[in-house]
Order: sequence, then C-alpha cells, then structure tokens
Amino acid sequence: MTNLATTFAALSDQTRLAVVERLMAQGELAAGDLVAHANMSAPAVSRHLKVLREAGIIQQRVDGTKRFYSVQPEALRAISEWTISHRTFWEAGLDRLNAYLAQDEGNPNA
Amino acid sequence: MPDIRLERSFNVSPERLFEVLSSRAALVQWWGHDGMTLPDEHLDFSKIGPWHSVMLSDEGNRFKMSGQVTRVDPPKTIGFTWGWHDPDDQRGAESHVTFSVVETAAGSKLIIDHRELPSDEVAARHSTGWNGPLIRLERFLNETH
Repeated sequence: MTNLATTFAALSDQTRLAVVERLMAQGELAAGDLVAHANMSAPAVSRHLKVLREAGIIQQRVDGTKRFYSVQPEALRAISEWTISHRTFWEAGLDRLNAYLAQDEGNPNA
Repeated sequence: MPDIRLERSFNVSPERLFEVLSSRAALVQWWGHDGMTLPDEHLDFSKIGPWHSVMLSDEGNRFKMSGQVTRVDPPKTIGFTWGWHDPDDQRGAESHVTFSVVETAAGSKLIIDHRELPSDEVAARHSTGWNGPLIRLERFLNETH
C-alpha cells in the first residue's frame, strides 16, 4: 500500500492531476505542450513532472533536446484496483446472499 | 462508474428478504466478496444512521466504504449513501444505493440500484472526489488493454 499512498499523494495536486488526465487523453506529449496548457512557468511545471515521475505515475523519454512524457499504466492500474466496481461488489454480494438464504434452516426451499 | 441496476429473485417472503438485507446478524454473513474478510464494520440497515465496512483481501488490500442509511421502509425499501475511502481514509465521491424488495409469485425479488450523484462529465470534472478521474482512468485502462 506504500506505493499506492505515494501515487495518491502525487495526484492530490490539481495541476498534477490535470497533467495526468491530459496524458491519459492524448498519449505522449512534449514538455512544451504541457507548459503551454498549464498556465504556469516552465520550471514550476518541471517540478510537478518530477514529482509524478518519482511516484512512478509518468515516464520520460528524451529525444535530442526534447523531453516527452507519458503515463505509466501500471501505476494507474494500482489505483483502479483500489476500488472494486460497484457491479462486481453487488454481484458477489448477491451470490453470497443467495448461498446464505439457501443454507438457512428456516428456508429449506431457498 | 456508471449507474447500475441488478435484480435477483429468491424464494423467501419479502419480510424474510428484508430482514437479511437489514439486520446486522445477516448482513455480516453475505456482505462483501469471497476471499475477503470483514475486519471492521458497522452494518445495520434496520435504522437511520451511519454505516461503514472494511474489507480485507487475501493480498492484504483494504477496501473501506461508508455512508448514511437514509431510508428504512420495511419490508419494501432501504436507501443509503455510499462512498469509497482512499488509502489515506479520504472519502471519495458519494453515490446512492436503493434496495427494493418486491413480492413475486415464487417469493420475492431484490432490485439494487446504485446511482452516482453527479454523473455527467461536467459535474465529474468539477467534483473534488475521485469519481471523475476514476471514470477516465477506467476508460484509459480499458483502451490500453
């Protein structure tokens, strides 16, 4: 759970969450593209990118003088596994409810 | 996570079904998943008030959710709010669950409605909870697989 806590801490900032959401929607983007949309200075954006990189949420690719960023699906998958889908939860519950009623002595036909 | 509706028929009376949906003694027997334990819970849907439950998986992952029981109308309806907690125990976006018990020829039927409160994209974007990001995350993960 330590990694998950780090992931959440890194994403708990609106700017960083917005960056990750843009990368999820658009795929790999150059640092310049991220700065252009972030409404803050390049060094400030760069600090945010560093936090996200250190938390393992995004990865960096260097091509000449340009840096490109993309999300690390593994880190995000860990978040999605923190909640169970509602449907999965209720389907499991209904199966257990059915089994519970079936083994209940008061209801031999259940 | 979109709104969902599930239905299941049982050959017990509506009164009996309502009892196993509302009483703590029965709830702790079926609430959750196989392969998970329930180390901490306050589950009582027989009266208005707060509830919570913590499920623990084999791999040691904790899943906590909590809410308020808002409606108890035996033997027909139970309504409660629902929110997942993140690993830092921050409660995420709130959704609403309704259990409806309907009498049938064979016994009774349970209808579970689980609805998101702010469900459109704009509301999700402005939500301070994890709901919006999680919806997009789910989409993203589905696309990359």
